[in-house]
Amino acid sequence: MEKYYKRRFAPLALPAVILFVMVILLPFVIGIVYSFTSWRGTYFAGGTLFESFVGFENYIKAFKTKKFMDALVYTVKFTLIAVVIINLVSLCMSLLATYIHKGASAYRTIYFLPNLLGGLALGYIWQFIFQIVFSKLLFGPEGVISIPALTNMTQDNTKALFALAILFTWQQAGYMILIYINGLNNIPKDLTEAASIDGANVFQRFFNITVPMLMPSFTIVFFLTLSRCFMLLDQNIALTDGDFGTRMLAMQILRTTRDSSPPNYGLAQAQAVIFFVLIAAVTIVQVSITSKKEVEL
Amino acid sequence: MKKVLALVLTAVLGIGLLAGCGGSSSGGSSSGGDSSSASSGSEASSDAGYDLYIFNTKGENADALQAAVDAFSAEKGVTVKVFSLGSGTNSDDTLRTEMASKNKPGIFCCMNAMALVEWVEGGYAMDLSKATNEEFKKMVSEIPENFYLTQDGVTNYGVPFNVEGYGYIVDKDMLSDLFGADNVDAWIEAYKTASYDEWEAMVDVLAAYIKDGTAGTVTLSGQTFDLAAEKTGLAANLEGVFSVAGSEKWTYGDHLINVAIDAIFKDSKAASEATAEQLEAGKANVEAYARTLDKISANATTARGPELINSSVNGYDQQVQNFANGKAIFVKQGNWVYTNLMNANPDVCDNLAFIPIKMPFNDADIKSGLTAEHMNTSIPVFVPNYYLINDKVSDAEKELAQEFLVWLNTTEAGQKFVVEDMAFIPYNADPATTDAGYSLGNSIIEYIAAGKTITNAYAGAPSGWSGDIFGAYIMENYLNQPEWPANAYEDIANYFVSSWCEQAGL
Repeated sequence: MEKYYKRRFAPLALPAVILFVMVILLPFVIGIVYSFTSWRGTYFAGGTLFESFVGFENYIKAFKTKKFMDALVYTVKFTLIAVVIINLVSLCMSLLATYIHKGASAYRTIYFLPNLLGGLALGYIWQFIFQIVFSKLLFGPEGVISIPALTNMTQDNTKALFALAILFTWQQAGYMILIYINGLNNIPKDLTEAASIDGANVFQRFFNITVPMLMPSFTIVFFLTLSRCFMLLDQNIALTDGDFGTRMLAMQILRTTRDSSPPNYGLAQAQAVIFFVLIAAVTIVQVSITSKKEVEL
Repeated sequence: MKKVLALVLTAVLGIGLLAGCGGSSSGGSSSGGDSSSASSGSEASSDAGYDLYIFNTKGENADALQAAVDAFSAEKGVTVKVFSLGSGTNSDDTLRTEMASKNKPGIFCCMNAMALVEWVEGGYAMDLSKATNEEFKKMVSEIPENFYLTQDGVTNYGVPFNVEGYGYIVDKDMLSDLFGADNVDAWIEAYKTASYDEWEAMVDVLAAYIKDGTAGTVTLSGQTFDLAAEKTGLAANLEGVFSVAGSEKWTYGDHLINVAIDAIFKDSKAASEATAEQLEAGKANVEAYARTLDKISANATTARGPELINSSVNGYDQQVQNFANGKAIFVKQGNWVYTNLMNANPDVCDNLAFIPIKMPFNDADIKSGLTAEHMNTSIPVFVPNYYLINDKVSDAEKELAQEFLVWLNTTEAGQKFVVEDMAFIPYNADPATTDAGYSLGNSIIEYIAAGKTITNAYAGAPSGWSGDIFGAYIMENYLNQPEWPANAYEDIANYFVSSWCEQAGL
């Protein structure tokens, strides 16, 4: 079989390569070119592609647009909060899961289920939960227990940050749990056993054995959560639609074409390129830091 | 064995791909019928499998338009392709994709002069004076000037879909339970000419009646109307004076503010050329808007506060539902809610009427040349959407596009689809003879006949301003606050000017 793949590498890889070039690489390159022009979606303002070349004007404009900068700040805030919450929750859950023996797979399936739902559906489900269940039934003035901080969470810039984080944790934790469980299972039992014989307590064992041994999983989970939080779009639209200043970067790019007439696709494209560079930079830095801490046995 | 399996799987995949492509191309040509019978079809268009391609952005009339097109193609022996998106879907991106493709639509839609810019700049919108069809030229020349889709006021690019109107909708059966069956028509007539102060007093009386059951007296245009001593019949379920969709920014960000913008600019073209000075000078009208909105939102079925802007409780559907179920006396909406009302409660639909929105205007503050009296006795009536002909398609397709629009708007067969199936009020309707077939439609025709209409100047506001910026500001700062600060009206007026200027780059 190995030989078969080696011999036929080119024909087997070709479909994937063609698809990748056609639907990812080409549009990406074209997009970068368009970001330097005054593209209007169906035509180039000023004539042809070359005549509408505006240099870095769109990029400068993007950074001068208050909406774009606000969205950038909001996205960074959300990412910081959500990455921490998702990792804490999924790590605790997976530690629990490794102690469960009966029905472990049922438990995993249940936690994985939200991951199968689309972002929009999820956003609307949680909109109902925040608007009706939280605001009226549970934590409202006439609810089970009155906690004003948990009511109308979609109607306040800061509260919405946590509302989005809760939603996203619910969706992502199941997937991250699987990765962590896999990592935890790969830690040799004799290491912890030896440590406990030497008298190390639970916390010492966790921080000195589990965490370093789990570093490869941390690398993957951090990469996934960081990039996904940065790129959050559907949930943002469905839950708050950008009201109360909750527009995140992806949504800002999408809505830029609506903010002016004729639509400024060149500006939107420039924002998208900035967005790409930003995510690439953040995730590359993160991966290089966390993978350096991985221990080889 | 595995090799064989792999081969089989690859073959199946390949066949699937081929079948997929083949299916779509044969489907395209067969859907419209016999394309060889097309007399005028040029080579380019018959390649694509149709003679005329219509891109419809109004999902609500998708079925009706398809039926009209079927009748037209059967009559002329041509193949017409219609593409409609689901109602409420933003069609801009899809339309742009189609425009950039090889098979461009021959007829497409555009909402207003602001959206027109890109189609004119891109060379897509055809100047209708360049038409080739004689009948079409005649039809275009008869479009009233205030219904033009234009940038300079002279060149018209669009054929109107229809006209729509909005105001407060009131159920005459409800009025009959409130004021007595004999007084309904007199009440409506008196309301139409009533002043803003009388309106405000009336809202207070009605609110007290609903809350405490204290029967009071309403004075409109000097006439007095006594409320029934007991809340009976439809009045028994009342929870508020107005049904308000607090989470729908367009209801107060587009439509209600439009009344104030109509007092500043005479039409959308004037609004699109607004200067900072003009906006500043019109501020008093925006304060009038704020005072009206304050009154409406404070007397809604839901108390003003976070719950009023909660989209699960106070969205468009709930607003219509509340009105249909008799929980509110008035709802500020347009004739487009008719189908929703029919779905919610058909009983309420037979006796509906529009009554004007009142705002505390002064003649001295109104800059659009109208009088406060006219503003407070009229309802906004305007063209919500236009058909445009694409200048970049073949001459044959352009000719056929003109034929279709003539057929749709001037022939009896075409008008039947417009009036009955789409439930539209034709833009060229003669108020004296047209019957819209439903109460709200006829109510609008009455206002047109009486000349009591204002326009839709808000369509000239900067793109994205009215709903996303001004509407959001109102929702996030005022509709969620039970009490408004003392200088709220002034702040709203100031924000109106500053945000407009910022978005328009003034």
